[in-house]
Amino acid sequence: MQTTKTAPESTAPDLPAAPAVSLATRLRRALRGAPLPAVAFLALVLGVALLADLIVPHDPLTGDLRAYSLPPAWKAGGSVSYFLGTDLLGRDILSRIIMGARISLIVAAASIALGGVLGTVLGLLAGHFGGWIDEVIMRLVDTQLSLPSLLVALVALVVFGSSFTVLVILIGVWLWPNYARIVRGETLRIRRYDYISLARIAGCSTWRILFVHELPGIYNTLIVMATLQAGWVILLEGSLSYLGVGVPPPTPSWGSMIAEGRGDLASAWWISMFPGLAMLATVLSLNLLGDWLRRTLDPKQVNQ
Amino acid sequence: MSAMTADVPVLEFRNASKHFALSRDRVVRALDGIDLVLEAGQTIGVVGESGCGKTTLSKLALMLQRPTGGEVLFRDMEVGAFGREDWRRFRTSVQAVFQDPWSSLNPRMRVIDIIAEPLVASSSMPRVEREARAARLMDDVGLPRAFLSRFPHELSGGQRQRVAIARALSIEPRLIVLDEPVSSLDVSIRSQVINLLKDLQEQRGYGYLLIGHDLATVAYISHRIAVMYLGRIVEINTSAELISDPKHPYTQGLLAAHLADHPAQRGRNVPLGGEVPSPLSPPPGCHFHTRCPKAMEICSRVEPMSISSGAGLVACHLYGQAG
Repeated sequence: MQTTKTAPESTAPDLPAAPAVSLATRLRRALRGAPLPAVAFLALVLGVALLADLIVPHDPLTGDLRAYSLPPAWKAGGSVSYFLGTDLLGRDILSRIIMGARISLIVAAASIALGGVLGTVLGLLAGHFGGWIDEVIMRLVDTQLSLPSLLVALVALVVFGSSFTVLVILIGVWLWPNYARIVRGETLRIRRYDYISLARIAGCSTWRILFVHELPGIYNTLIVMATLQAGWVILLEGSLSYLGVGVPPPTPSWGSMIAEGRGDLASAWWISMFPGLAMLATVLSLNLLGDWLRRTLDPKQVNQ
Repeated sequence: MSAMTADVPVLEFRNASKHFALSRDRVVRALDGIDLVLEAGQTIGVVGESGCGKTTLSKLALMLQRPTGGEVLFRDMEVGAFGREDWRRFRTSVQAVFQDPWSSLNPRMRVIDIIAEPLVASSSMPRVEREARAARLMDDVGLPRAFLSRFPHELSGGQRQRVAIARALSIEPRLIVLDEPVSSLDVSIRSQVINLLKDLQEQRGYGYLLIGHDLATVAYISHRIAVMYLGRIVEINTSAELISDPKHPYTQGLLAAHLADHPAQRGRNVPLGGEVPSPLSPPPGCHFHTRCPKAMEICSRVEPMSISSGAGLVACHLYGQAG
């Protein structure tokens, strides 16, 4: 056997270092094609929710009974001080919407964090180990999905009393099966890559394979899911509050505000209308952002 | 397998089989009674068409799967008897390079972390030392150190395969399983990578189990070659003898497909026709008789035994009568 030896040549020359890119340029690149009005509106909602205590023009919890049921400022009889009008107890609608933004976002974030972590861990275990672990977890998912969740939530809230914690746990438990299913499927896909076998050959622990090799491949999917679900959870919290089992009064949430105005839609439509619009705009923005993220976070384009 | 040296072989298959039961009466015999010995610092090539069990062989060698019959031994030790410390020793002695460089590197890790991972997983080497080692490995495989901070998608196929090799070398293994390491690369890159592997072996004495379907490439780097057909080894011999004097009609057929460049050989071997039968229902007797140009009546009834021929073994009835 003849051997003509050729030294292994470097297959590519050293490339010059990438030119320094300013922060502004990088931000602009990252946001290319983003739904800017949606992003701007969400930033506004987030800022308002964070600073709610500082920027509310009136106390959102106690009203001025002399100024009850005032229409918005631009209607006859409205007052500039109560820009979006007042409710039947004389509380400022704008202040309550601002405070409600905080409540709605916290409920959404906390319950998605709970359901997301629970579902992700269980889905990861089901996909990675398969066998009876997979069976048990996926039957749990089926069971959860076949429950009439709204009824269960109503019963639970009546039994345990409506509190912020119970609400978050209920919504979190409501959400986890979706995460578990998606994460399991993604894990099954990623497991087939050779780098998982090679990690095992390198002696990586199961823990390391799960959380260093498999989980990061799912991050994009999780971000998209969480964004799209945030809108859905805000609606769900609204529905529960509307049914009277959401965040307990007098704490304002968008759903409970809509509920409070339902009897006076004909005479004082602004009580329900403005929180409803706030909810609509927020959920719409979250959905637009989620769709954009889904298109953008193609794994091949990450890190570029 | 006559030449047993005093050294303990790195890897040994003893009558190893791997059967997959699809249902009660449908069994795929991916591997059937494999005997194979790999001495330290040597290369054994395993060739055959797709579906012949090559990949299952590599999975058994890497202990990713257990044989359903027979034994696979690492340094004279059966995997079933592995304790915690044996597993650690195995994982720090055996590495692999796979066919598809797009699938074998985690797209979310930087090259430096990919190369250093076997060290992270099985040693307590400090970070600084690991990264220095990774940089030296880049030199060894002929990649610029600047690539250390890159992600796999920023590299070409050949560069990725070099990264995969550097990773395999990081723990100074005794055995590297090379499962079609160049088949997915451009032809112009193949010889570079093969030569790199050959040089590394000469310098550092790694043992290679090289799986391939291209006999010419495999012969170039292997000391011995095993030719597989439908889960069985039909011929095994030193590379030189196997190429110059192939005994089994299947080996002759494989060679005819590749080496028609020498005038003396032209016309001597008939290229293979037909398709590989399904491993679900392999033909009785010699699996190859349905495609064999020299098939005899006995071939469809009796499974041929391996008999020695020169430095190797061949399982074919053509030679059974003489021996």
